[in-house]
Amino acid sequence: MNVATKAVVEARDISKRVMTAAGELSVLDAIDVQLTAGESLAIVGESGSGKTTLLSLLAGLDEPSSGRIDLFGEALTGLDEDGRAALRLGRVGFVFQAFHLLPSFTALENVAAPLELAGRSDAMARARAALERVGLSHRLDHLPRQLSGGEQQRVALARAFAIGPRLLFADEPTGNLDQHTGQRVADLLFEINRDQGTSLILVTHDARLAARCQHQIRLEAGRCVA
Amino acid sequence: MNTLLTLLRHARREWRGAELKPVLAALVVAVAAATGVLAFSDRIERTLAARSGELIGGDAVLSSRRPLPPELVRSASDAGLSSTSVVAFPTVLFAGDASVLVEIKAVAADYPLRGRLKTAPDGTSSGLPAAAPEPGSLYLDARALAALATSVGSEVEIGNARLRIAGVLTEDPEGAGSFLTLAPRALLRDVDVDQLGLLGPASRAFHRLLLAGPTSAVEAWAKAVEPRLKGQRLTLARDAEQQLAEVGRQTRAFFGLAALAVLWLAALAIALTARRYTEARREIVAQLRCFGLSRRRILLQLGATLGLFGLPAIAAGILLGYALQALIALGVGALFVETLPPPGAQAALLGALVGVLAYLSFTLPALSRLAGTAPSTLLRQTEDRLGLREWLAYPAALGVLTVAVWLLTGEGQLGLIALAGMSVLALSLAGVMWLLLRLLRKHVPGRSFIVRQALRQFASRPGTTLLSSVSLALALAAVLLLGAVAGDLVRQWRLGLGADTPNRFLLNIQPDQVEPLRDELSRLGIDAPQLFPFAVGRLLAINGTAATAERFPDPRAGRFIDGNLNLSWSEQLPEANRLVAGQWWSDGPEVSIAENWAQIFNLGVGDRITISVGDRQVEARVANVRAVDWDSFRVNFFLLYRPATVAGLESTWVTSIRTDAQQARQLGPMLRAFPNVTLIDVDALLARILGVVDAVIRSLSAIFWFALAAAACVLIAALAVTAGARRFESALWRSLGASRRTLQRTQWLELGSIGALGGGFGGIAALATGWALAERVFQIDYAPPWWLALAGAALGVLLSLLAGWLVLRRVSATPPAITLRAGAA
Repeated sequence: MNVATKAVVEARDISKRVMTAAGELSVLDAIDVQLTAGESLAIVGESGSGKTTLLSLLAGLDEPSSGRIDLFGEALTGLDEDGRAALRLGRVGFVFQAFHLLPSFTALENVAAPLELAGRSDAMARARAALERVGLSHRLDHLPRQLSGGEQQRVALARAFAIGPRLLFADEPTGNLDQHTGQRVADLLFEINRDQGTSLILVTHDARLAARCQHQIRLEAGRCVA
Repeated sequence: MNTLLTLLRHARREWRGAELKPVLAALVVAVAAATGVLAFSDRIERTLAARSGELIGGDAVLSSRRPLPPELVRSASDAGLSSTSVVAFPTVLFAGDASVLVEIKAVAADYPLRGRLKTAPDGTSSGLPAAAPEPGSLYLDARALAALATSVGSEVEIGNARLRIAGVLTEDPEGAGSFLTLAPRALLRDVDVDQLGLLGPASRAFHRLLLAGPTSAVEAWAKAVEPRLKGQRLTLARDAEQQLAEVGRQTRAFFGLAALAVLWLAALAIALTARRYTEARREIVAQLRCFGLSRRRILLQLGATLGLFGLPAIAAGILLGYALQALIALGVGALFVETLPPPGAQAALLGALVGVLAYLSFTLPALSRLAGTAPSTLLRQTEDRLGLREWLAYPAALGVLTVAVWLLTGEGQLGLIALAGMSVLALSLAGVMWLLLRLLRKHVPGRSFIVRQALRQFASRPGTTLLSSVSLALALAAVLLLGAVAGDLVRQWRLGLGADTPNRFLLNIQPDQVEPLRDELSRLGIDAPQLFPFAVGRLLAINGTAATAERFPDPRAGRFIDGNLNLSWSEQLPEANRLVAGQWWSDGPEVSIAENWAQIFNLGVGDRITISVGDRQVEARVANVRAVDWDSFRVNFFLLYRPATVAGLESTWVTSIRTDAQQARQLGPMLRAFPNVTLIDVDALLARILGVVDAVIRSLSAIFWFALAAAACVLIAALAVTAGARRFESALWRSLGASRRTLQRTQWLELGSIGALGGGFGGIAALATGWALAERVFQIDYAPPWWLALAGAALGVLLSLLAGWLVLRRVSATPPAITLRAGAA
């Protein structure tokens, strides 16, 4: 089995350009990324360097202007929005800086959501187990607004891992948390990542968090510098 | 100039946004409903005002069921008043094989004393002033002409004679007050009446003496003659005007209530949409305040923007309102004798006033809160929850709006009852919905992701779900009640009358005609109908004390005291009557009274009733009380005397018969031998009443379609409030792998559930109201059209999906990366 087939995500020469009033603006330029199963990658850089854009492109949430992205060995580029969503279904997890929980759903319903979407009949049981794993078995019926920031991010972690994803995208997962809580959430993230053998791509400003990943990409003005 | 340009630029930006348009749509609906109803009422009232001077064909009218005493007629001429006599009675006209029951009015050459007659050569023009018809001829109104399928210049058979149709009666001052004219009308000369042989002694006819003269002379004569009246009624033109004003007031109140329902829903939509508008501008305002702009300045700018859009919206509402009033007039216009005048401009002003009031009072609380947004909002995101002041402001605004509409439509009590009824319905629906939502929150049924997700969405936004479905339910309940239940109820009531229910009444049968008529009816296969003597009396005293309306709290008592009292006598208890107290005849002067009549006058067995019939007074003891089935369509009487008690009293006879189609056809020719007998076709009468009911229902329906539009505005507003959150949730689901199609189906199912529940509840509410009406009012075994609940649900789903398509169709179109980066809106 060669390296290419083992790659969970592979991006070649991808660029993203947007039109502004002042003309075309290059957000990302000629980026290459490759990650195999179980590996972790940190994307670091200053604000506005294109980190979140790169994450969005790799996850298929947005389309590159040029270049090619393969996810789980299948071409992501060229697929329409629904095709990209189908590729993610049941295989990709997300953790966002702003948690992005469904505000009108309880913690349990939030975690069960991707499982139900994937048609898992044991959605509720698995969601319960996932919340137990992150230490929130006593908060199952709470709405997001009734939870602290740290608790919300743990619910988000449980949601991301409950499905047993092969690849997890995390956008500044500790960015909205105080240092202590952030540390606990990060520990949990890497712990589950290790246990489940999930590949991890995370965007962060936090050098210590980035250092815990096996690979790093540093972006400056949309270009890869390391 | 600069300020104006800034304002215009600002306005253009606002128009591009999605938040302002729903506010304006709700405003248009509110103004249209108010203007439409006010313009229609105004047309009715102007018709009444124009005719008020010539309502009764004179300055005063003396009327009676019996010929007027000559001394009364003389007293009028002695007082220097001019007078003319009118006799009115129902009879059947024939033209070839066609026949029609008409209300005949026999007048003298100098009729009318006030106002004017108008006739036309055919039924299509409004006519020209004309004198009373020449002897040997008559005027028919367009309905009679159409029923006889004949034309001006032809002859009609009436009693023993043939009269030539000299014109189509288009205006008759005496008829202006009778809005719901059930029978077609004919006008002929008094000199022809005797020749026709239509009126026998004690025939059912109305005798009227129209009087005219200087106001002071009329008033003085009225004052002098009033104490001498026995069974005659004196009406002065000013009393008639008051009665007519009452008709106008009731019309205005009736339609005003319907408009009020629309306004309440529209106001709710304005409040909701205005709140969404201000929420979307909260951050901008916080920034402006950060830059140092005063609260007052911001409020002015917001107010100017809303004003700039509000005024054209109000204008559009007024235009739509005038279209609505034309629709209403089209529906009920046929009921009015007169052609309605064109709509006036006053309604536009009042409609605009209601619009401004609704607009200001339902946007100001949100605007005032927006203008006061703290600059610190920029640093600390807080939820914008309404304060106590705002919460109180909305009910206050609703109160102000309601009072304004009450003032305009002149109805307080009915409005209050309607408000209470609507609130009870809304609260009960909200209660049931709330329980359902609680249940769904705890246990979401189904295995399919789409079903579970849709139900969860449905339950997780109780505010949107409750507001949308309850508004839909209220509007659809009104539309379905009028559109389907009311008509169905009347039809079922009619069907429920049964195969043997009499469908023809024969009145004015002279005593010597009783036996020959019975024989003729038998010959037609109509067996031994029960014939009753019939006399008209007047209630004088109860237990020896003079009967005056003030003595009895029941308002119906006055009608029996001031008006005429129909009475009869019989040895046997009639069919469809049952004794509930006392014994059938025993001894002495006795009377049997109907149960509901006993309740009105608080009477029981042993009480004594004194009546006058002509010059004779009859006092009798109440021997028993009867329960009467009034729906049986048999001849029934409130007062039924023991024959010995009223022996020798002058009377005509009446009966009710059941005919099939063939007998009905033979009945007309047979009755030519009894020209004075009046045939009342109950089927035709019912058809005419149903026609009136249909017309009123159609007009009210026009208003309630606006209620539906207002409910749609609430729905759109409620959905629009959630659009931001939905966009974010959609992006999140798509990041988790949901396809756009899955999300769209989920959304349609959620919206469909809201529509189905709201519409279904509306249908059930309409059915429940129909059932209550059937039980309480019609007293029939009503088989409710259960499919209506389904039809309501289907309509609800359709409306809900339409609103969803308008507001949410782009929700899942934005790439998830952009939405997620922006965060929850």
